[in-house]
Amino acid sequence: MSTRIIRRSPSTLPVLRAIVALLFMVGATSYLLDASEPPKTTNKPTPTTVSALLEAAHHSVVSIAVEREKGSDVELPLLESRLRDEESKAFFSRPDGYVTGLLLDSDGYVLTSNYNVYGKLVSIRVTLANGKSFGAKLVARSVRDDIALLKIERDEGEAALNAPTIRWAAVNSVRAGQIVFALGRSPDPSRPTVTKGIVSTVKRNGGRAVQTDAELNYGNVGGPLINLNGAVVALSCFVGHNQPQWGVNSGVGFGTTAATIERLLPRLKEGNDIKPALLGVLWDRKERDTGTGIERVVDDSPAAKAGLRAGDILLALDGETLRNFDHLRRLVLNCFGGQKVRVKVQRGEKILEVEATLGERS
Amino acid sequence: MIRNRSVMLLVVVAVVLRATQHGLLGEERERSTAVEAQTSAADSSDVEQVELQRLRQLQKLLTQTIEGAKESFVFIPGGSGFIVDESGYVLTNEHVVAGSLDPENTTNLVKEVTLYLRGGTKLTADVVGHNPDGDLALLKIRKPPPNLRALPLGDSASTKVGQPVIALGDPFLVGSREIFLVDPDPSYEPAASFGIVSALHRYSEAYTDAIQVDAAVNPGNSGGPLLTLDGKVIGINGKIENPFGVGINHGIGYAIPSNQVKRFLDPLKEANGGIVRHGTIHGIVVSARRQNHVRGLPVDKVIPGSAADRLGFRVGDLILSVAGRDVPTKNRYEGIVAAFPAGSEVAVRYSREEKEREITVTLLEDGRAYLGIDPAPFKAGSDGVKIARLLEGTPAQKAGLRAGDVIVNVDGFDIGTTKDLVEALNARRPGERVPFTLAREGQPVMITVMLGRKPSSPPKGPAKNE
Repeated sequence: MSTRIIRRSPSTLPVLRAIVALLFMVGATSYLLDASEPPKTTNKPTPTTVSALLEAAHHSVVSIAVEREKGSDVELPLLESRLRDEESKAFFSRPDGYVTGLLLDSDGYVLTSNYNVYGKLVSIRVTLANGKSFGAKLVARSVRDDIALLKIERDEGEAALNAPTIRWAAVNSVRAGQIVFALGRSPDPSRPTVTKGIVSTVKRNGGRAVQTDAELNYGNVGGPLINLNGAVVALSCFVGHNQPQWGVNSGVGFGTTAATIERLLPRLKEGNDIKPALLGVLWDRKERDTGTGIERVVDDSPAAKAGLRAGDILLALDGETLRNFDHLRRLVLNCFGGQKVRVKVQRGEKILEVEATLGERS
Repeated sequence: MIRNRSVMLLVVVAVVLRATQHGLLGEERERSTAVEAQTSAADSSDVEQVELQRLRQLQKLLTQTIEGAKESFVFIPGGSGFIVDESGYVLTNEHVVAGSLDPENTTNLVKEVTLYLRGGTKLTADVVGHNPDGDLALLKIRKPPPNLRALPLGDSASTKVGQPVIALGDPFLVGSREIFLVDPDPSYEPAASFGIVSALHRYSEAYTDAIQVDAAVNPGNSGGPLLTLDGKVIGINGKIENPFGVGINHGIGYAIPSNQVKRFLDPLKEANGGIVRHGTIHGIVVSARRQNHVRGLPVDKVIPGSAADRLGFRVGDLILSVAGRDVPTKNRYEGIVAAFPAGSEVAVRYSREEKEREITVTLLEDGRAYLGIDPAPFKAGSDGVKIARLLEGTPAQKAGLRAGDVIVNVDGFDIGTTKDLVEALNARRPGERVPFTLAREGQPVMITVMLGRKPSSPPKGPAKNE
């Protein structure tokens, strides 16, 4: 689907949008694509100033109040893990106050940074841009992507949320150097915030995150990074120092990409936490020009269930030609438990393809 | 002193931040004005109405420049670097190569480093030249792959405060180290940050003529290029102000200007793995700053017998410019001088008794001159200093001095005792050629010695394995 078609025939617009919306709901490859040109698909006038653009985007940005069991949010960095006294621990706990999230749809799904909802939760309250406030529940999270999915709880008969449509940046449109705005709604729901920066690079966290120099700090993290077309490029998450952890912003922050969110969202909505995947094969330690040999298949593993055997040479995973075992390992780690993958295998003289349902690493 | 400087810099940053906040509120004056200059889409009448268009133009430049510059970027364990010449020359910071900056270290220089191109191609490079005084190092890739792309060095003299700049680097080594929670996969993708030139001619330790930027520069950015929007290197990032000891970016980064880098490039290429030193106008002490209503920086002291003394400098002379640049303070004076390699000739303009003069001064290596002899114990009534022992490879031995020679005169100054010799040497700098008069077996002998630099003492512990 390209904007060229849309522009040529404005009358098809509502139909196309309905299709897009439907696809979005069933979780297929279907986000509203942000073309490189400014949007022409809405009835509303295209924002011509940065402030108008930000104002429009802020309608989807929500404020989240999190109540948790005292002390349950203390996540000590490796070096401080021996700290025992409460004062030192308190340094690593989340400050009180509102944090930011992104309202996805009228079903009431809200995405935020996992950091924001870490710990033993007592209650979550989401305040929308229009000031309406709702209780919410944590649905699922992906720790390694630092994202969490919440769902607003509404009583039957309560008015519809009428969530504004979010435009998502097209998967391959994100480039280093693109200007982004990090949107927040903090320190209270009435106050939208924005910090400006650029996409520093696109291939971080196994290709699932972008890096940005926009200031991300406690409060605005968990909100969207939007581009000059008002489309969401990523959901801001980790802030990087010597390891991705929290602290003062240094101009090195990360955002889990729209493409990653698209991939994870169906599973998150089912209530499944995302964990790195497991195939269950051991390397035969032989260097090859292409592909990787299997010495042993772990009993009852996803590989065993898929019918892989010792002596097989794995040639490709989901169509990507395998260079070596390390490559296979990275590709598998980049998947999540429960995901189905196609494995191309050489067994003796035969080439076959099997489907495996990946397991989860604990 | 340091505290004062930090406070001053914080004030500067406050001004810059205000400008940035304007940008956030939708008034893109600072940056879009620069874009205007780049694209000549001039419309100063109503900047706010066209800001989004301007930002798109800026974005186009940013993406193009970063995409191009990435190809010349190299990852060096601990920092960054970039290809400066297609034949395989790579520039970086000395502290990236050596792990720290130690100008006194002359014996344990790092000879080779491993580096990675974008995408992870691993290469080995020799360190062809060290410049610890100015935190530069030049590497040469041993087997340069074809199609290496170099970044052009721009003209840092044309840099303006407020000019948009891009810092390319590997902050916190995110791109070259396995730091994420699960994926052990370094991406070998450099990261870009965007900001403006906050100030020029900053003086901070080894960075004596630095470009100050507010683009995010962090540990790991060291050695990476500071680029203009049209992709030219105007500086090498290497240092950040660290007033609270946090060690991460506060909006104050320092870069070595490209014109200083250019002056060191040829000496570094010819250094054969050795050190290229900075120079000084030896023997001159200037006031801290210019007095009100006085045009030049006063010379407070001229050390007798020093190079400055022999060049004819007098106490009270007012220094107007060095290498064509204004010197309102001692920091600026020393900062400019220290931005040249030893042996450079610079024009010094000064005024004396209302008359302006200009002379060309050859900068001498900083540090104490070194001869390399063990004097015999002093004997009452003896005239001159007898050489008891010569050390191997020292300037004295290279010049042909022998054990048993008696030093009686150094460049016209009679030498009676060891103290006289030390004083005569203290007035000199490494690299100076000085005539010695010796008494050898009763006969006078004239020998010119090229003074050296005192080698640092060998390390006490076992050599560190870098």
